[in-house]
Amino acid sequence: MSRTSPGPEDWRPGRRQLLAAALGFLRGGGRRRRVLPPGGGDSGAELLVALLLLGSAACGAMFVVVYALDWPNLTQYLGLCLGGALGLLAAALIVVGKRIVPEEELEEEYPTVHPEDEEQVVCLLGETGARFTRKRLLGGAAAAAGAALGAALVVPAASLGPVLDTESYYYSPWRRGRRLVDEKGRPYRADDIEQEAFYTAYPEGADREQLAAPLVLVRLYPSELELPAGREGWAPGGILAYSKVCTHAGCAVALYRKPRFPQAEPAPALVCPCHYSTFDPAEGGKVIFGPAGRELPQLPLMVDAAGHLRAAGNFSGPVGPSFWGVRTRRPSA
Amino acid sequence: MIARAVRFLDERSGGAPALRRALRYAFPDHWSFLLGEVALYAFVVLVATGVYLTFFFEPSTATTVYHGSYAPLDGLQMSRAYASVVHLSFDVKAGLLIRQTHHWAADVFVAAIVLHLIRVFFTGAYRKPRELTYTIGVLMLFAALLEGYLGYSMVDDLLSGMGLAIGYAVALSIPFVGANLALLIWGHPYPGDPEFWSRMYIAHVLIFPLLIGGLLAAHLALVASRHHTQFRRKRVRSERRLLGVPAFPGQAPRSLGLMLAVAAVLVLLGGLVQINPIWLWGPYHVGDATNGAQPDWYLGWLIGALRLVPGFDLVIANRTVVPNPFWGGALFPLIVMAALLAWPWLEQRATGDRGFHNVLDRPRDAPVRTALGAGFLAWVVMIFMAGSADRVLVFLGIDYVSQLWFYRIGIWVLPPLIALVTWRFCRALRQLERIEEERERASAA
Amino acid sequence: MRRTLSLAPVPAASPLLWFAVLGAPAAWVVQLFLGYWLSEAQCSPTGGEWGISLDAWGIAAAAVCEAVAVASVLTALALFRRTRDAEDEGPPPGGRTHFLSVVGLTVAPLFVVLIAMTAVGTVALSCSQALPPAGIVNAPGGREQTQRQLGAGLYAANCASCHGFDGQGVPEPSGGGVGNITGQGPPLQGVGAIAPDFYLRTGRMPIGHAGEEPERQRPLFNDRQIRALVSYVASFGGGPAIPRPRPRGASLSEGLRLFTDHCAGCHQVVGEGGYVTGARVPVLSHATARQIAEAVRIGPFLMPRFSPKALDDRELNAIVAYVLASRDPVDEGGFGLGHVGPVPEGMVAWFVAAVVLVGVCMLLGRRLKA
Repeated sequence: MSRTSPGPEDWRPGRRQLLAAALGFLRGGGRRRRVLPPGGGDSGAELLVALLLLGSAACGAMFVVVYALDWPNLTQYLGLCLGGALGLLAAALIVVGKRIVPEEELEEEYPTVHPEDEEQVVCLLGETGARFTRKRLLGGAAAAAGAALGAALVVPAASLGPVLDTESYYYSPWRRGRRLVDEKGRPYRADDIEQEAFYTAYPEGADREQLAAPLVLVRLYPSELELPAGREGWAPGGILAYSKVCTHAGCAVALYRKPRFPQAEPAPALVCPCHYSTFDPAEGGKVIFGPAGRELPQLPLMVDAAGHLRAAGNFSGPVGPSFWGVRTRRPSA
Repeated sequence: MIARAVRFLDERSGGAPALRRALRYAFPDHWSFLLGEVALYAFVVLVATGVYLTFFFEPSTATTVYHGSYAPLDGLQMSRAYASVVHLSFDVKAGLLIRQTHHWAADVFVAAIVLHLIRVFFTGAYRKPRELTYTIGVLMLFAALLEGYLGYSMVDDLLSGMGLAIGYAVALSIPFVGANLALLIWGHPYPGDPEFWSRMYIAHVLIFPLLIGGLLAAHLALVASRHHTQFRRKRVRSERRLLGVPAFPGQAPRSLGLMLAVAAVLVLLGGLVQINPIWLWGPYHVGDATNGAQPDWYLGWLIGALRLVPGFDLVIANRTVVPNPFWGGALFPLIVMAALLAWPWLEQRATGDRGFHNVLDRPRDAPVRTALGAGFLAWVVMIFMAGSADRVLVFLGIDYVSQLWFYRIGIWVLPPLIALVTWRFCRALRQLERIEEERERASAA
Repeated sequence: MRRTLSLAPVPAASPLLWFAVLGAPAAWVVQLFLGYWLSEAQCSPTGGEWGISLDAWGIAAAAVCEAVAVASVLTALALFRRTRDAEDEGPPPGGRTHFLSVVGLTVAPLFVVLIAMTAVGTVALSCSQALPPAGIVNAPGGREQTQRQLGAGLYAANCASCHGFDGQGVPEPSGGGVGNITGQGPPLQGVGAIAPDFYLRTGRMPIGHAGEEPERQRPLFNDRQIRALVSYVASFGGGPAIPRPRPRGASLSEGLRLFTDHCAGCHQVVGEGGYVTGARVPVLSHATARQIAEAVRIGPFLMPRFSPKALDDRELNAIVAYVLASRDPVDEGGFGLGHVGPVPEGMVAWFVAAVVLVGVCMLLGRRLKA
């Protein structure tokens, strides 16, 4: 029993009571002081509890039976049985808590501070510290040891990734001459690409599960294009290839908005379904709506002698979400 | 029989005094004090179901071709992680029940924490001497958010892959260190090294549960050592005396009953209401996306913020300095966390009140706090709601861009208004009470 | 030092009091569900045949719900008045009944207004009301006229002001059409039978004005009129025929893959609809196999178009099979929540689980008394 906090004491046995209790125990019982007020015997509540417990038991048993069977909708039956068993048990306990258990309230003191113990601790620390005379030297040395050891312990975490070398963000599997293939690996021919459709293309023979791999291909009338300066010849026959990965948050730009009646409807656009960043394919992937802060990187295309589409270089800018210091520098293979 | 058992234990542990004190620990009685317990029990369910799930889940991105009993995925290429969860859902008896219970438990866990936080805030329960308890609670909330995000991201279905891409973009957008940090976590630009899956897995099943469990233990230990707060009642005479139901026999059956009720609700939901049907979303590939992709509700405020921020990167000299996702995905939650953590100390400084507070305020007793809290809550909730604007468009036909502008303006206009109204309301309530008291005194005299 | 108290029992809830507080919100919820069901019965392709009059039933349902809500306002008022007299004896702030009656008085009138607004909304915005400015004009002539005559008459009366008399289109807005409507619309020469069949059978045409998003409605023309119009438009020349998809036996997994690749970005992976900048993407749950195939081939409104070269007939069959299957997907986990992911799940977590558990807490713990 602590001095400052008396705690929830109901009865405080003196030495004599303890002795009496021990004697009583040795004698096999006898009269002990009650802790709880006398009472009980709410037979209605007890019956209810018994029924709930039996119901819970029945549900639990049902769960075992249902598990052994192989019904359709098994998950639902299992959930009902287990949930029922838990729920009925909960109900039984709630009835016990509200109807059978005595309703009592204790009054006690809130624990506060312990000035004597505090003083002891302060003295202990202070007196120990006083034994050190060259505090500054020792302090500096200890700090050096702590810092160096800390660094030694933390440095292996750098193996988790190439921390300093961020060059990999500029990598792209595309390079001049690489063919564009579809989902099944068949190369795209330039005349496969139709107005008003959109296509997903991947680099031939490269890993597709990397941000710079997937492309979205669309075809517009060459006369509609207003590509930025320096991208002449990037879109043979009006075929445009853009990275399929949004420059905002890295989701796939899987929407192509293509008006049926351009005179009265919104212009063609590539849209990301995560935050609805919208890019204009006719203007080199310029952002026209949404939170993206950088244009969609465009891949220059060419058509080879066999009529297949090939990359004519690398993307116009880094692929995927932006980072500190990202430049408009073009990625490399 | 009982006496012998107690004696046996006391002889070997000397624990009888502690046990007696524990049994007679007093719980002040109010329904809102049980909200934290709901969170605790949801966590218990999470651990129990989660352990079962680890027996079946395979944290691997190695590709495989599915040939299980769910025909619509037959022959598709997918990661082993995704395939193992589809297998768990269709071919493991009770597997889907446990998985869905786990997911519902996560949703309810965070909801209960938020309700508990709201209760603690508006009653001033965080005041001295309970600031540390509160701080640990707020940290647990954010740990729980990350833990939940990791949990549904590991599955590698279409939604989780898109969610991971967004998480990657947010990590990448942090000024100065983003690019390095993302490489540290992912090991390689997105979708990352195969090792990333091991990292996510161990973080989800060990590191974060341990972290939350440890914080939880500290939280409970601090609660027990400082005792619960209580509301002012006629019999609560001073700040120094506590009136409550003893742990045993008064509180124990109720508390256990609540635990079982939480488990029952979660299991019933797990059996009857479908959650995250990953077999319908299909496997994720970098080039795939679906419309209306949303995170679990507790990250909805972040997608709302990401959508509300106007489209710009901070660019200086042709170099991006702060990419766009930073504002909504990193800065915004950090502001919310910092505001929550700093509040007790800010309040102490503003009011100059450094006394012990064991008796709670009713919200009306502290009009300024209640008003600021209501405004802040409204701000976060509105941003949260903006995250579902696209679904609102599909269901109700309200134009997306108009909604966006409504929220962009509304989040700055409405919260101050709500704060003002709340403040007036609190003061009016208190005035009413004062009048009533005076009338009573007059009639008694 | 021991104190034993008996905790005061929670006063039994009077049903009248609960009606005062919750009656009006409940009435509104019922009205919402009824309204949803009615519009479903009215606007879905199968429901259209039931011949349910949305307006009459909607107004009737709204009237009943409104009456319930008003009754709850009156109940709250009565309780408020009764407890106001008793207030002086009771402890401040006047007891639970008084407080709840005040809550009822605040909440219930709000829902009375809400129900009225919902009623106006469901009737004014219902599918049967979303007519073009001029409605449809039935061509003169009886049943004895030939299909071509009927088609030409209907076309001239309902389509020509926007699409031109010979289907040459009206590129810029111009007046002088039938009924002096300012018309604008794409040419129909070369669209074949497939486009008019799709637009007319899904009720997307006629629309109010060019550029507006055509949305699925109950078709305004009957089957004979549609056939006449389709063959009339097809006679402008060229264009593909109506596709005949055979989804039976097609591979669902191939369908899922193709759908994810080509469609899910807009339509959501289970076909539950979505948003593309500037337009609402339709839910696919009402589309028939033929309509799905037609939409893929013609690309209505802002949708891209996929020719047989981009998606061959076998692939199209797989997509159609997948979309049809995704109307009623495998809900192994129980109630499907509309298959749109975390938004409804979060609502269940808050409005079902959290509400139930807070209820349990309230049952277990004593509530604050002044």
